[in-house]
Amino acid sequence: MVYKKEDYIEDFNEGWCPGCGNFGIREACLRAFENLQLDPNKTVVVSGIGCSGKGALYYKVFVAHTLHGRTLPVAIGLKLANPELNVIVHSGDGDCYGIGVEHFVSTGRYNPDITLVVFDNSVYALTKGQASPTLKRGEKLKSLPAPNIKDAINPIGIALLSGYNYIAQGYAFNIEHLSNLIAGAIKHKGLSLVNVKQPCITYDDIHTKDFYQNALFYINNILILTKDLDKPIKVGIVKREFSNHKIGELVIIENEEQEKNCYVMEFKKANEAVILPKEKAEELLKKECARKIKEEDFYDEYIAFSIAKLMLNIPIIGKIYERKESKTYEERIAYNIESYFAYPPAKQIICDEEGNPTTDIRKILDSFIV
Amino acid sequence: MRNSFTFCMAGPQGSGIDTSMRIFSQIVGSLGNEIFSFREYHSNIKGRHSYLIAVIDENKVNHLRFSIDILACLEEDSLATHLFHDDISYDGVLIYNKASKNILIKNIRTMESCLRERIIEKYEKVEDLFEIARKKRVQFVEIDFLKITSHIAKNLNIPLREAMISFNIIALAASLKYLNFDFDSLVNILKQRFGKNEKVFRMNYLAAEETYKYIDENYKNLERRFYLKKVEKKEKRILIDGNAAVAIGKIIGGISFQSYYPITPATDESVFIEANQNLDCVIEKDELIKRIEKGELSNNILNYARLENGYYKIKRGIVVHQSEDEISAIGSAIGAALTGARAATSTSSPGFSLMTEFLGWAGKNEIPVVITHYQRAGPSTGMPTKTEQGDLLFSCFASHGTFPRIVLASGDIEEAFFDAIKIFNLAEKYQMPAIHLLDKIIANSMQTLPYFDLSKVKIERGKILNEEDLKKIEKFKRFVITNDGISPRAFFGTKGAIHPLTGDENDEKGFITEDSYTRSTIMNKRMKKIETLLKEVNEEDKLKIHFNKNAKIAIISFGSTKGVIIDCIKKMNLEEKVKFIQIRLLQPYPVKDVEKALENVEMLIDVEMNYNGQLNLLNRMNCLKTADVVIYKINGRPIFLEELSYYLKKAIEKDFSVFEKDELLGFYKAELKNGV
Repeated sequence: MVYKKEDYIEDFNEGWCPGCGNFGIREACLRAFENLQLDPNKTVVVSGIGCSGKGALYYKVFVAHTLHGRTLPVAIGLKLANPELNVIVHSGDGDCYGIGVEHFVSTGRYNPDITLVVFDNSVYALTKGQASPTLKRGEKLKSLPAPNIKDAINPIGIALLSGYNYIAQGYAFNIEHLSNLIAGAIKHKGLSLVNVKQPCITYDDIHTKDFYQNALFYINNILILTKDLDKPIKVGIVKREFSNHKIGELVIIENEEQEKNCYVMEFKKANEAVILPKEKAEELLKKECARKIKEEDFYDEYIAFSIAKLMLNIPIIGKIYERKESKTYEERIAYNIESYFAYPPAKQIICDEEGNPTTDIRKILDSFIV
Repeated sequence: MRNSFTFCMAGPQGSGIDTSMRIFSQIVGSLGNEIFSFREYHSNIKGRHSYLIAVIDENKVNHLRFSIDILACLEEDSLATHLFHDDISYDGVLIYNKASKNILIKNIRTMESCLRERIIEKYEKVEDLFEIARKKRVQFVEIDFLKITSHIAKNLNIPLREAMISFNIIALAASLKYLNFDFDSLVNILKQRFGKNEKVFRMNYLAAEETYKYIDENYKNLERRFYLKKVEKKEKRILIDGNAAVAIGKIIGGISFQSYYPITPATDESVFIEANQNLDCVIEKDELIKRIEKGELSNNILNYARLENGYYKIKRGIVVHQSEDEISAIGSAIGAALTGARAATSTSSPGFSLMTEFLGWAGKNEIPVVITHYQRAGPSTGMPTKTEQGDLLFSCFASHGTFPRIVLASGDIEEAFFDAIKIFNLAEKYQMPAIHLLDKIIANSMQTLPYFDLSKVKIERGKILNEEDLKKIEKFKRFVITNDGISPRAFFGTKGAIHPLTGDENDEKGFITEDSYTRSTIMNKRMKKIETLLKEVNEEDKLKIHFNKNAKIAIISFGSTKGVIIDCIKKMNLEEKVKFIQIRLLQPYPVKDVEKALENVEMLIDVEMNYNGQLNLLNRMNCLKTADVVIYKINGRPIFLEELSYYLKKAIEKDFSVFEKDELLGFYKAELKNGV
């Protein structure tokens, strides 16, 4: 049987604000499911608390809408007990990088074959717009009484350090692009993260659709420095509008005014990922000081780290990192339990029809005989 | 000469007294004697005083005693500690290390400062404490541990420090020699235990040989006050600890997923399961083939199966997941339970605290997850290696809101084994989280028991719908309203069973709702299961009445106090006069059964190990009956036979002079304070 997108949709109203970025993410997921022809009977969406979590009930697959921050533990249990299941997690930036950050980090160590999609809008929207872990210091959303005094977390960097082996960032309203990233993540064997940037149209007056239109940077526009530069290049991303420059725009920093109104990055080392305004990029390419990013760069941890560093200030979208060879948690379990994949926990026949146990424990119990 | 006695070996943590005690228990048990032993240790890896105590008798032992008949101490800390607490019996025996005698108390660095200060008030050096033992006519058996280890060091050409590892074997050998156990048999046992490592065996062999020689030379006409009797036992017997018994119970009960975060005293259970995670299973040939043909199982399984007389022998593996914290531990067990696996997590008090939010999610979503909860002394970190029953009320009421749960408390190791199976049956039949309430005493005690009667093991999985059942249903509703409150379950991954689960209130299909009518209907459905459960569960799983059912005096208790209460009643010959009501099912509380058991009771005595008499409070709340006397203990040590019998006698005689009146609730109470 061929599954159509509609086959994954349940009659459920999640109550999102009209125009919310969540709709884009969900559409991208549905397309990915269809594209991969996931069997709904073998698919689970696990979600947490927040706008991202509630929406999971819209999928016509198995759904576990769990506790705040606790998606990954439930997902691990599901996957380990029945490795046949496609386990997709929907979490929010508060859910995953705030209250649930210990699971976010630890799950990287285990590397179960799970796909984590994080709805990242920098606010706790369902509680009316408090600062989330991905909101940058100094930013004052209209819902905040004062500018944020905490620094933002770098989820991509943490994911890299923690052992996630497919890492991507997408944008909620570039659905086709996002859908491909999600499909890639589901197909990837091992733990994958797709962080999705999205505007919260109700509480966030900074990271708006317009903001993203200016600021989004596609991964294939990234350059890699081929040699150390004599003089470092200082690049800024505009954080406050000033003399004709719009928020999110890239500028080469040449004076103090620019420096004051931008997030500033400095580049000089070879093998570093660089992000530059168009003219400057062409200049470096011409001088052979830099080259365009290539497919194989996504398998290079060093380059991925330097991209992750840039991502603190610039919403770069695309696949950032993939490790091809990495043993999943399930495969590691199979080292110790040979029959694991053929006879996983969920499928074990533990008793006969009369309720007599099938497990023979005599050998174990006999070792206690006196 | 007596063959029934209390034996205690004490020494620094990490010095191998655990191994010595296992060997000792093995020997005593194999001679047909019954043994009950307990491990007392500190939250420390190496150095602090720890000890093992064992009660040995011809007949089954279920209790511990405060007074020690034979005390063997490896070094000064344990010697001073035990002597100071005055826990050696009249006419007892003290086996000790010669070098300990002259050590100044103030120099015992491993000792806790508050204890050291209490001792220094009266005594300067260890030997000064001997007067306590002398007054009790204790027999002193001094062993020169250093002389023996020097000999070993020379013989094996190793440093003295290395040879000193054998202190535990010297203490063991000295005790066995005192009990007139023959040397060749000891060597055989050492060979069994250490034979694989020639060097270790050699050292332990020499330690035993030199110790036997030392006693022969220095105590030519050794007076023996105790001996090991050979008792004829026909039945097959085991010597087992609570952690292992629970683990084995879970294994035969069909567990296939266990999660845990390391915590004393629960961890040993999970480690045991992991060490035995690949298991032999026997499945009828047709059954397996049928499942493969239906596509439920992959054909690959036959690669791990062997056909024997119409049955397949298959290896099944239990996944043991050590998680990053207890929140994750219960979360993953819940995830596994959703797929149909029998899933459990094992923890102790602080860990259980962390699990409570998920407990509510499992209760609301009717998920049969099992939590094995070994209580330890709280509040907070409390005394991590000490015992308490302080989490009864917390287990019964933890997590916000109202939802059904099971709390089942086992009274001893054998019950814990069968309950480890039963708790899964209850959880799955009634689709609720189930807490198997245990404590450090059950976890860390060892007992000789008849080989478990495995024919008594039955597995019940409750109402489950498979693919074929689901085909007959137009739309599967996970929480369909039923008369008994139980909605048939279908696993995540079963074709045709697609449904959502949420922490929000839900409708019959599982979808979020805040509709007033639906909320009320679904909540009532969930809670209805309590009534059904209480109607169906066997009486003996709710409570057990020991001794004379018509007695007018009743003792009420739960959990690990069972053994000492039973032995106490027997020892005091109160079998006719007193009944012991052991409550097993604490949630849902079997109100009717308890009320019936309390009918015509004129005096109610509550015995438990927590400050506020939590069972008494629970019973007061449910059955409107308050105990007349509450006997409780909070110092982290088990209740000993001597202290319980003293207070029971006073209570029964209505001599309340030794009790204190609780002005608030009106009962008499007494705190038991013995223990080292």
